[in-house]
Amino acid sequence: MVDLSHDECLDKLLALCDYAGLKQQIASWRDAGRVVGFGLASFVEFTATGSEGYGRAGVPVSSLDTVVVSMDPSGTVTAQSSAAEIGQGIQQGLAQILADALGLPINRIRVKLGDTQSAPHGGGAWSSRGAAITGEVAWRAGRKLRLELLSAAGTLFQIEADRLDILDGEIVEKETGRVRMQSFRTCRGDPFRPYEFPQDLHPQLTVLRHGRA
Amino acid sequence: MGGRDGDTFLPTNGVQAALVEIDKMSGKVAVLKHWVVEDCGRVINPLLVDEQIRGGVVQGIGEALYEYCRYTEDGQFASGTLADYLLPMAADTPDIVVAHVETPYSGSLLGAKGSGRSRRMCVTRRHSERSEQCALSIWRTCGHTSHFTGRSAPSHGDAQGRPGCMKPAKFAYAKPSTIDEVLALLREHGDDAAVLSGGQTLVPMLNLRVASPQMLIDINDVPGLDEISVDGSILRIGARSRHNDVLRSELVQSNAPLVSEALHHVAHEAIRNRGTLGGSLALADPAAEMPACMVCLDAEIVLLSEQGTRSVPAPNFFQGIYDTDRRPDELIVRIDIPIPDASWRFAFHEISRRHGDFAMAGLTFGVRCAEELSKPAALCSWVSSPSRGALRRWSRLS
Repeated sequence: MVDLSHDECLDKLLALCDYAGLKQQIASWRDAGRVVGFGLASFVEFTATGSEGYGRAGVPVSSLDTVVVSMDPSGTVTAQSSAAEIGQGIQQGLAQILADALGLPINRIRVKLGDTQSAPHGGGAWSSRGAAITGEVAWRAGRKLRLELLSAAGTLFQIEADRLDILDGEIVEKETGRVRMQSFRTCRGDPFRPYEFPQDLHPQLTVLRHGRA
Repeated sequence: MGGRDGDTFLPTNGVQAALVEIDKMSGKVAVLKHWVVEDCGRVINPLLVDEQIRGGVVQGIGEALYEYCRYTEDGQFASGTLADYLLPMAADTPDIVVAHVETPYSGSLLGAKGSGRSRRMCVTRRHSERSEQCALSIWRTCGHTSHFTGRSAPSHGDAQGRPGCMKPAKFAYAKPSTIDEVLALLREHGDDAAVLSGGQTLVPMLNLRVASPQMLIDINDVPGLDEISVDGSILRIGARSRHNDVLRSELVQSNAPLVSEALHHVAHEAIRNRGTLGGSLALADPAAEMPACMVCLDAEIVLLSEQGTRSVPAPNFFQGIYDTDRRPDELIVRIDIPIPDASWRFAFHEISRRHGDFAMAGLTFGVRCAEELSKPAALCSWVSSPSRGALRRWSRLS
């Protein structure tokens, strides 16, 4: 198993509770007749169970999750996902991930969850999977949409797309920080005057990504 | 796309610690403080992750110390209500200190792992293994019964000490319609009988098998036991008067306002609709309000048996914790409260975890405001704390 950090966690916890001081405190409480004890336990938690587990075991639960991200002509991004909000905060988490992935202020992101008539396919909320699986899918969908916006902007400004960035909703030149355009204008320009854009410019402003653990 | 092939799950790791105290008298386990350091990879929203962890810790405390699904021997689910199935509340929850180590999952771009369950498993195991064994051994040594601290409580077991039987033991049931029949049954069954009036304490006690009478005498059909009247300088309250009827009685409000005030603190509306004054006095729970009021007001408890009527002053009637001067063949039929004259002032105060809960401590107080300097004339305080054992100090100053 990889990516574990038992030693660091233990060190941090012992510092956090001032273990040496606490031991003395407990000893003095016990001397005074109180029954006080300190217990420690470390754990490895089984999270984001994936297809390798359920599939091989023949358990018919979906290990896939889906995020569909669309930017509309107003510049608002709407994400639909198979994740379910049950109070754990995944709706907020996905909005933050997409805002970071796209370089947009978070108030331009709308996350729609929970309507099974319109939600894309996926597993829902179970097995501590929201951030790990749906979050990852959202990140990849958001990065793909960002790439579409940047390559469209690159065509418009006749500049390589990797010399551009999206910061707080604006397309800027990386080197100079010069603002070239509001990102949403890149996608369709003025929706009422698309003829002003090159005919062969067709950025795909809806991205769908599946993912599994 | 997503996780690395071959990873059947993403491992989140961490360490938790708890500082736990066990009260030697009651066996009650209290978690004084709790620490969690967790590594769930990339933390996207620290506030949400912290609060998920805290919620998990509280669930773990519930599982370890309070929550328990009990089944009877014949398979009936015996903890189907929140009175039997205890959930941790704010007062059971310690400060929970949370910190993070971030080791991103290397199989994804985002690096987030799951969060939200480990602490529950972890807390449950540690609390239950360490403190429960310890608590049980203390119970065994002290022979103490628990104040319903959950599944560790030996009082939840049956007579043979087997855990899990919570519905009543077998009893016979009678619902006489005259007082004479009640008294005859009491003479016949004595200590083996229990009188069912409002049932707000008796029925849970039956279900928990804290009480297991052979005969249940239901007095709800007997006429005349719930009258409230004034006879000269005496306020007479029938023993089967429901708490809410006493609380709303104008006769009580004008002649014994202390009782009306205190009754607001007696449990909750629904319980007051059924529970009765006589039942509360007969039980003599050290945490109850009514016994203290009766002592403070110098009331007389009127008892009836086939031998005749007996009036016992409240200070003599209450003899200890759940212990009264009532003889097994006697029924409390009435409470006589001498109406204090207009120079008396009364006060009531109690401390409880939440309004309506059993009081941890309380005070009833009366003072005569005459022309001379006021001096305290009636004082009754009571204390009941699961963590200090149950004590009671009832006194009346002259």
